[in-house]
Amino acid sequence: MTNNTARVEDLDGVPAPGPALVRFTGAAFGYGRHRVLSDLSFAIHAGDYLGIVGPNGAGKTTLLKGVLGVLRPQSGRVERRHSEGRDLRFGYVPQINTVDETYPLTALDVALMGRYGRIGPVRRPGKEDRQAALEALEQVGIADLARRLYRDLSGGQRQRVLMARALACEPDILVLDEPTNDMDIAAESATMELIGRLHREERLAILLVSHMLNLVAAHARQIAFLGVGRFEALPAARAVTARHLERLYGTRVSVAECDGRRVVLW
Amino acid sequence: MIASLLETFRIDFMRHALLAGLLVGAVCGYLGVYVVLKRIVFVGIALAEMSSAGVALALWSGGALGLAMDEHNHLTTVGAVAMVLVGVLLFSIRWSQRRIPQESAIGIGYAMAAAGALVLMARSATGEAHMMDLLFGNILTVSLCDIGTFAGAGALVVLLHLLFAKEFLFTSFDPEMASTIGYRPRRWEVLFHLTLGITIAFAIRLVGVLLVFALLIMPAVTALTVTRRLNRAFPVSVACGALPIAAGLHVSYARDLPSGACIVLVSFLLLLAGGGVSLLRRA
Repeated sequence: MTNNTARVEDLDGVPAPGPALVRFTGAAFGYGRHRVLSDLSFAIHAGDYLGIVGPNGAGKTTLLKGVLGVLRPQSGRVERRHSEGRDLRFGYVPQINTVDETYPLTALDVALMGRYGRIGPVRRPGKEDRQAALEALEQVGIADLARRLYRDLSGGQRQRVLMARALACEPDILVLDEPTNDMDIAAESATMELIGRLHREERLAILLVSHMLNLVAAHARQIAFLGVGRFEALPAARAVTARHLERLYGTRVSVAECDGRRVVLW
Repeated sequence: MIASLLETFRIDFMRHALLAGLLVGAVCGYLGVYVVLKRIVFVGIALAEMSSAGVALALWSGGALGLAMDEHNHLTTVGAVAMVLVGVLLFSIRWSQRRIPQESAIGIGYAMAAAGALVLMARSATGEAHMMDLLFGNILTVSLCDIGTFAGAGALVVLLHLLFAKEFLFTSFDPEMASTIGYRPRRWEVLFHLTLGITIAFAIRLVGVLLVFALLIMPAVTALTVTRRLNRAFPVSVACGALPIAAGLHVSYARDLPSGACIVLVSFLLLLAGGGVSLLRRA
């Protein structure tokens, strides 16, 4: 991890699609005495599609933990609130290689775990929860794999199971950590298309974390750059320009349009 | 065959051994599924050794204080449970953040517990041979009182696992996701280690280190080999923990062989049979 003093820049310039769900105000995160991120101020609104890009070690996972509330800020404030006054619900999709494949659990068993937070302690999942988990599997197009073991599925199918589990939480924000790691082009394209569809059709706020600039540039509406000593969150149109990227990365960069998507070349 | 088996268990001490073995086999069989899936087999043997060190510490302290110590003395149970709790705390610390891999801490705990038990045993006023039984248990010498104590502790452990089955499962399968929906995986891990430690501490008094360790691993591996669903693996593992007890005790009685070792060997035969069934299914 690197020491990171963030530049304060909100997502101004983008018409906020909805009320702020998560708001960071001068927040700093770290582990013990080691500070990883400092002075972060930005907000995620309902309906946002925010991509966070940064090299390994820049603090992406730390930022993610801060958003999810798993890591408390060492200073500053993080507010999470839903407009209806209830607790904010996150649908977290971890990297597939962090999920244990030894357990003989079916795709439905895994998706059902997304309901556990709503069931409460001691109680067991009921028919409604099973139905919700099945619907979530259907939403990501793998209802036919419900009875198959999670460990027997391909990388792309497993990613969809984890997305179904996140959707079974009935989330306000879908948080995805490197969702296309170790995937071939077809699986990557299908996964990103699915995320885009959930954003459009379900009106889900998306927070996508990746080290792949092109992936984020092609899909996110807002992009936050996380790097050594900086944090900038900008609308995609302003963020993915050759001039801006050259200033950020300190190397010659070209930006092209292909099939309506921005492609960064270097 | 059946008549010979029934004949074996007409004798009081063999019946007690059967009851003790069935109880320990069932509880260890259940917990063993987690022990194997969570890859904490080494934690099991380390906690078992910590428990033995606790018994040795209690015997040595009791002797030093001039107390009459025997295998039914409650001080030894207190010592075993206390040392297991120390082990649970030791193994629950996030050593990786302190640049020491968890495995190393467990290894150190195991080595220190084994060495401590030996030193205390050598310095104890109680005879070494008598101490071996106290430390490592003997399924043929269990009393109904010991069985009752284990049944109480085992019932508590089983109740906790039945009540919080989904919490234990979720936090061990995917602690990261679990923490995002309000679970505290560290707390559930400590609670799991506590239930495991309590089971081990009481079970060792009945059946010894070797049998407890074997019953934590072999039935679970057999179950995970023959079943393809986690919800079936638990009852199958409980059955695989209990089944070899009668057969092992019978062989031990009929052939005059060490009972614990016979049960372990029968468990292994069951595991081989399970492996065979699994291979046939795939063919």
